Amino acid sequence: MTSEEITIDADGRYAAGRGFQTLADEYVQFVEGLRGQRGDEAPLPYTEFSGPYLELRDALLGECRQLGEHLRRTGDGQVVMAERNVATEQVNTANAVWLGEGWAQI
Amino acid sequence: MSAMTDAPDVAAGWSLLGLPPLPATDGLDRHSAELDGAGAYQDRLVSDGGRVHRLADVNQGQAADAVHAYTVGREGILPQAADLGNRVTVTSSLLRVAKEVVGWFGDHLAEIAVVAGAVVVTAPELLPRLRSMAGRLFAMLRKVMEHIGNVFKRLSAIYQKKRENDVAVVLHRKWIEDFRLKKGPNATRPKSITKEVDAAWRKKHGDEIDISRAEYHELPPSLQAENGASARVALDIVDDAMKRGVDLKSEKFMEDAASKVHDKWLERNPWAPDHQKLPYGQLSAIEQEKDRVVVRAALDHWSVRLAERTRGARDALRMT
Repeated sequence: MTSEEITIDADGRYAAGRGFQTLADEYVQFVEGLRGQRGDEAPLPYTEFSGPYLELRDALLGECRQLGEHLRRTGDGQVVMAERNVATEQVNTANAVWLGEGWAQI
Repeated sequence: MSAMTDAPDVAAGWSLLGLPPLPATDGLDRHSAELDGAGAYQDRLVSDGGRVHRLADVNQGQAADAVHAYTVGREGILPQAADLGNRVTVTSSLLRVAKEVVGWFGDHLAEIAVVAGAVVVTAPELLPRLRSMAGRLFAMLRKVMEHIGNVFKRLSAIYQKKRENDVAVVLHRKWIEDFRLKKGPNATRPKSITKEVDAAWRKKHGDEIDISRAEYHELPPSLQAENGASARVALDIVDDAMKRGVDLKSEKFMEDAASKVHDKWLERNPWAPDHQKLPYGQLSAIEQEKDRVVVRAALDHWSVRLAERTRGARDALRMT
């Protein structure tokens, strides 16, 4: 394919966007649940073990939260793109006339 | 207190050995189960995300390629989710190892405790030996726990270094953009490489580098250091603010954070010229903006990666 070739399926894009938004909602809920469950509770009373573990766990949960934001961005982006695609199509249709052999822009 | 030391014959001997109580391991079980759940969720996310992504598969063009790269590309969010899932699972496995270790030492210490209970009447002179043996075993247990703790530290450090690197790459590219805007697209900025810390780099690449034409990872260590340090400071500020629930989009946060970035920069660069040695509030607008750029890079490092991947997808298209 060349960079000039474009195929648009706004419905597919919209469905994918909504799907990612749903995944993001569920994922954020799951991650917040994880945060609430254990909090800063140390798994063992040995600081040389639990200190670094809790720090790592915190970093992993932070990454989970960022991943949730990624998913949301992907979903929102796909939905916006789909809406733009539809709007552009409507504008093009409104500005086109049928010439017997095809549509022409006016 | 662990169940294994609760048995009456063990408990009596345990007190004779003078050992601190062995911790219960159900906390390890709870954390491990939680992480296993998170790992399984990541796996499911990768699978569901792939299915959802395919709904838009018919789309073709630069925008579709950019979304594809962002979602399933080499550094896309779904491979990231898979990588995160792996690391969560590794962490959970280490918790299980810790449980096994506590159990193994606990079993042996319990046996020594039973012996101590038995000899206290018949051969009390053996107690000091048993105490010493138990003490050494207990110290070994703590040492192994420390080793596992060090593995956790190492995993955190790898992650932290990767984040710093991501932000430092952005800071260096931003500097190149500004430099070209100011000096023109053909301007160069050669730097002589003389520092000891760059000896290995110099051997491989020579005595000079044009930093306006080099990517961050191509720079010698001494020239990476400043952006790396700024990235570290800004990420720490953002992490801390996130933990405290600060509104990261507020102007107050931006100005406070930029002020801290400036203070830390001054600590590292005491040679700074007078117009940069001022407190943040008294700096010129241009100088203040330099500090804000660092904060923004730390705040945006995930979305900046989106821009990088999008650019990568475009570059790939140009080559086809």
